[in-house]
Amino acid sequence: MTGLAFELRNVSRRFAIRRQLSEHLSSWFGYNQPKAVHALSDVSLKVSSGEVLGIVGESGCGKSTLARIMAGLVKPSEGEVYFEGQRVDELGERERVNAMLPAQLVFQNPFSSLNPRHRIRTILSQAALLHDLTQRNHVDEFVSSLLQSVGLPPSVSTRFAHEFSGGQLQRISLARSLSVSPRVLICDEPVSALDVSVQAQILNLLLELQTRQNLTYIIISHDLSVIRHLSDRVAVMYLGRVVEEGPAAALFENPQHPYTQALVRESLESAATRRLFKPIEGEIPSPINLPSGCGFHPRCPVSIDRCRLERPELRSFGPGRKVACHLVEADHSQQVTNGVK
Amino acid sequence: MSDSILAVESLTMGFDSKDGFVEIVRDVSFSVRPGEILGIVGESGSGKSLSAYSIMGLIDPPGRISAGKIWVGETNLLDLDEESMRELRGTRIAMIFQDPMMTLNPVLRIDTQMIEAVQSHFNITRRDAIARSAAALERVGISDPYSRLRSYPHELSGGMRQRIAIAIAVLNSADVIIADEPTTALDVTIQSQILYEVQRLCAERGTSAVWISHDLGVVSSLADRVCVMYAGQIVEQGPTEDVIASPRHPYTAGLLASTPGRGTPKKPLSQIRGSMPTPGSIPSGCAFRERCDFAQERCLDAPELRGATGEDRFVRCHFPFGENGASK
Repeated sequence: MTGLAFELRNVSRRFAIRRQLSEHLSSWFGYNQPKAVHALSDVSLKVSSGEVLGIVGESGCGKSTLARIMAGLVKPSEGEVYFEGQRVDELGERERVNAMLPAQLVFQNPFSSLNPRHRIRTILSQAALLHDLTQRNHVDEFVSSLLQSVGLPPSVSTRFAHEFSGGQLQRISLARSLSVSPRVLICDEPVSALDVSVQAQILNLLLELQTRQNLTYIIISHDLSVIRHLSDRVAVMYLGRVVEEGPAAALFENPQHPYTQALVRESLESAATRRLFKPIEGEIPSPINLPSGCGFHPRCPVSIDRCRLERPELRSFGPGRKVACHLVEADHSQQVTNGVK
Repeated sequence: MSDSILAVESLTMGFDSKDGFVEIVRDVSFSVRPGEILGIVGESGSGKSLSAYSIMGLIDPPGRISAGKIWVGETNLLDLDEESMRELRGTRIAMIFQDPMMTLNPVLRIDTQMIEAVQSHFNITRRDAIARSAAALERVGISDPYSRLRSYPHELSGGMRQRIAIAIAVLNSADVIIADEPTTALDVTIQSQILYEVQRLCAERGTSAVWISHDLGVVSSLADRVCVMYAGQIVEQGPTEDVIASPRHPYTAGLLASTPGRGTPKKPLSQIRGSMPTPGSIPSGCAFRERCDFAQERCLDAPELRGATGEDRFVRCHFPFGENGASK
C-alpha cells in the first residue's frame, strides 16, 4: 500500500461529436479537423488514503467526467489512472470491476438511481451477494446493519423506493455503496438534490461514516459551502483543467487564481447582509472551441497579453498549493524583488 | 394598503382531491412596497411557488383559491375575469420562472416573442416595438441586442435565456416582478450576474420584486424583507438583516444553523430532524412541532402569526427566541 488511494497522471477525455455529411466530406479533403468536446484536459491529481478531496467547479468544467473516470465508468482518452497503486484504466471489464470494487460512486439524484421495482432489501444485498460478501441466509442481518449504519430502522427493508423522502433515499443510496465494503467513496453532488434542512443530515452522516469506517472521499460539487465543509484538500476546475489546488482552509482564505477568487467572493452561503453583486463577466466558453492560452482569459478581470497566447502550467505555490496563472507567479516574484529592495 | 403596491391577504389555496380539499397555501399574507424586494424562503413543498402562481392567476383545476384577497393597487385580482387579468399581466405584475423555457417559445425567434408581448398591450408599430425590446435587452446587460433578437432560444445559453426572460418581464414596465427561483438552475458566476442586473433594475426603475428561493444566501443578499414559509404558512417575517442575524422561529434558526457555510468545517452541522410534512398530513397545532426541539404542550394549539410591538417583525410561535418572557 502506497498510502495513495488514487493517482491520475495527465488524464484527458474527449467525446467525439457526430458529424454531418458535409463535415465528413470536408475532413476527407483535409479542410476540417474532427470536432470533439474536451471534457477533461491533462489532469493530474493524487488522493491519499483517508483524505477528503473536494472538486469544485461550474457546469461543463469536467468534474463529473472526472468522477466517472475514477469510478471506472468512463475510460480516459489519454493518461493513466492508478487505484491503490495498480493501473486500472487498461484492465478488461471483469478485472476492472474486481480491482475497483473498493471504490464506489454515490450518485447525485437518489430518485433516479434506485430501482423503483425492487425492495430496499434487494437493492442493498444484490451487489454483496454477487461479490460473495454475504450469504443468502445472512441477508437479513446484513441489510439491517447497513440500514443502521446510515441511520434508518431495519424495518424499512421491505419497502420500495417511492415510499421514501429524498433524504432517506440518499441514505439508502449511501448504504448501497457501502454494501461492498468500499475504502473510497466518490460522491457526485451528494446533496444538491436535497432540501437545505435535509442536506445537513446527509453531510453529518458523510462525516460520521468517514471517521467510523476510515473512508477516503472524493466529493464533487458546484456548491462551495459543501466543499468547504467536508474537504481536507480542494481542487478547483475550469474548462476541463485544474486551475487551483490546495488545503481547504488556505485555499478558501486566500484564493490565488482569479477564477477561485470570483467563486469565493460570489458564493453566497455565508452572506448575512444585503450587498451589491460584483459578477465576473461573460459565460463559460464552449468545451468544443477552447480559448487559446489560459481558458479563463476571456472572462478574467486581470488578464494580460501573455494569458491569451500561452497556457499557464499548474505550478507549486506555497505549502501544498498549486495554481495555474501567469499573474500569480509575476506577483510572487515582484513581492520577492520588492523585499530585496 | 395605499403604501403597498402588492398586498396578499389571508390567501388560502389548495387542490380538490378524492379525500376532499387539501390546503397547500394556508392563510398567507404579505405586502410589497414600491421599490422593495421581498424574499420568500422555503423548502420544496412549503407552498412558496403556489403562492406566486396564485398571484399571477395561474392556478388551474383541480387547484383552487378558496379564500383571500390579492390587491394590486385598488384592484382585487381574484375579482377579475381572465380578460382583465391578461391586461394586468405584463403591465402591472410580471413573472420570471425557474426555467426560462417556460417563458420562451422554442420555435419562435426572440424578436417575434418580444414584439408580441409589447403589441398585445400597446398600439405601437413593429419598429418601435423592436426598439423597445432592444432597450430592454440592453437593460439586463445583453450586449449586441439586435443580433440577439434574431436568435432562437436554443442558440442561447441558460444565463442568456434567463436574461431574456427578465427583459420580457420588464418590457412593459411592470410594477412588480415575481421571480420563482430564477437562478437555481444557473452556475454561481452566472447567478451573480443575474442578481446584479436585477438589483440594478430595481434600484434604477423603482420596480418591486417578490423573490422566491430555497436559498437563504440568495435571499439574504438581495431582499429588503423576508418571509420564511413552512408547510404552507408564513412562520416568520421581517427585515432580512434582522431575521438572519437573530431568527425568532425555531425553523428559521434551524435552517440557518444547518447551512454548511456557517458551520465549522469538518464539525457536525446542527440539523433539523425529520422532513417537511406532506400536504394533507400536516400535524395539528403548530406545523413544526414534531421537528422542533422546544415543542411543549401548548404547541398543540396552532400559534398565530403575531408581531412584537414597535417592530416590523412577525413570528408564528408560542415560544419565540429573543423576546421578553420567552423560553429561550
